[in-house]
Amino acid sequence: MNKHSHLFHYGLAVAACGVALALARPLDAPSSCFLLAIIVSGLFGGRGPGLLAVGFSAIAFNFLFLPSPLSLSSPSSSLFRFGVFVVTALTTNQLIEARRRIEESRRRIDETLTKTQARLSRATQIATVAEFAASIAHEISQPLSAVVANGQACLQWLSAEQPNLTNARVAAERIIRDGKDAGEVVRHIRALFKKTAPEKVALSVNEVIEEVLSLIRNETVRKRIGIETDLQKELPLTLGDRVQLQQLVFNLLLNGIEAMEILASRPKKLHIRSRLENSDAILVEIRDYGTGLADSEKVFEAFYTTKEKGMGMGLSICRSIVEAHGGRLGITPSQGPGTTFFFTLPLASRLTT
Amino acid sequence: MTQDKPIVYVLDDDYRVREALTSLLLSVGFRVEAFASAAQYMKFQKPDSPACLILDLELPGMSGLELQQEIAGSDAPAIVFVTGHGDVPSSVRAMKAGAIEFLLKPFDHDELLRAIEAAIAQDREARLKRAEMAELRRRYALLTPREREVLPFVTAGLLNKQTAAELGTSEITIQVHRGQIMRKMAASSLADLVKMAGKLGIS
Repeated sequence: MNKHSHLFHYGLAVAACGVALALARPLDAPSSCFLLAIIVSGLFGGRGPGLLAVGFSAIAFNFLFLPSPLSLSSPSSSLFRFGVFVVTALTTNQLIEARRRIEESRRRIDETLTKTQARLSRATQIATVAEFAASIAHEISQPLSAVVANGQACLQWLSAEQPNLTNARVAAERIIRDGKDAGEVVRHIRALFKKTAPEKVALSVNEVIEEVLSLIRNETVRKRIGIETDLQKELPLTLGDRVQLQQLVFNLLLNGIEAMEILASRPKKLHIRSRLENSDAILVEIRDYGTGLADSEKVFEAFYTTKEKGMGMGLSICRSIVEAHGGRLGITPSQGPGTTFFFTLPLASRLTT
Repeated sequence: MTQDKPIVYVLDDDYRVREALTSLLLSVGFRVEAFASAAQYMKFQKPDSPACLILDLELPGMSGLELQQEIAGSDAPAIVFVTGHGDVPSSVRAMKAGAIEFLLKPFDHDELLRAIEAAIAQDREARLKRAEMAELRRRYALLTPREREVLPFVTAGLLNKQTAAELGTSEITIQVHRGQIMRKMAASSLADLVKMAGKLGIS
């Protein structure tokens, strides 16, 4: 494969020089034609083919277009013209080569950056989940307590002198129901921890919001934060990676909760709203009634943080998630206290057709 | 007067836990009343029987600890806390404020039933004590002001003659007062009366 492409690049150089040779006489512009051939060879072929074109052009230029063959007796102007041509050709080739190298390294930097960001995003994802570990444990232990108690109740009803089958059956049915509940929580957690390549599927934003809310419900109860949801029913689907979108909502809610940590003067609440923004996109707004932000554009920059323990990556990751989904993330100028973050996501129907 | 079938109050905001505990406690023969919030619990007209409150630490609105403080001092039942968080400061606070037990969800039913039994036993005792005190206070209220004046001298072990001298009256009068006090307080002996006075905080 590599050898093949080498051959192709050198072939390209030879062909370019051939074309230049054919056009040089009729156009009466030999140096321009050959320089063009060198540029084409250098740009598309690389260093080797570029040099080949320089050599080939130099020979052709010297023997075909200068008044007399290169010799000691030739007029000095011919020698001079030849010299200028060779230097120009070599310089051009060098310049092209330098440009290629810069492009190459920029591409590598971009690649590394993307990889690092993905890793960092995963690290903050885990950190976020860890922060909620207690709350999440509660979400599992709640249905599990019910399962255990129902199981014991069921046994008691059955082992009484006159077994009460009706009550035992009800208890058994509740065991199944609550067991499924616990399984559902585990499924959500697994999704949050999952390490897979982003995979975009048609999904409901409301569902993603509900899933995240179910995981942090206990945290909000404990911190006395009221949750108000205003999710538009039958919202069209969007195309997205479930895990990333969960992480996005998770981060934004976490920010809201943290912004209200020290609040004492007014009731703490989070307001989550979803709407069809227009025929192309869904709009989600997450409002907290916290301390508000001093600099609403800076918060999206990496490593900018207003929190003591913060890394300053949360919102910059949120923004890259939203942008990767073809949406926008920003702050709605709000009336009254607190901060309102919004993000938009394009409709699945708009993206697939 | 006192119905003896113990009652267990279950206060948890999660309907699954409420249902399960209700069924479990009914199956072992308790009376059960379940509530989703502290406000509901406080509104409920509680019957006069030994009781225990199974209280979730995390409640929307008033938390478990706040409720514990709110009802402390009144004739509140003994409390068994349950929680999904093993949070040390809260458990310390709860136990210091007199909780019987602090159980971590999901709890073992033997553990829970043991705690409930202990709580009910404590509540029954507290109820008896309260009833006894109420009875003593009722009897004390029957005394005339003069008899109340005489009572401390009697319980301090002074002779009728000495008391009469102290209060500037005759020995016969004091003797009559003393007889009335013993009768109204339903004391079987001087020692009994001294004990009652101690419980009432009279010396």
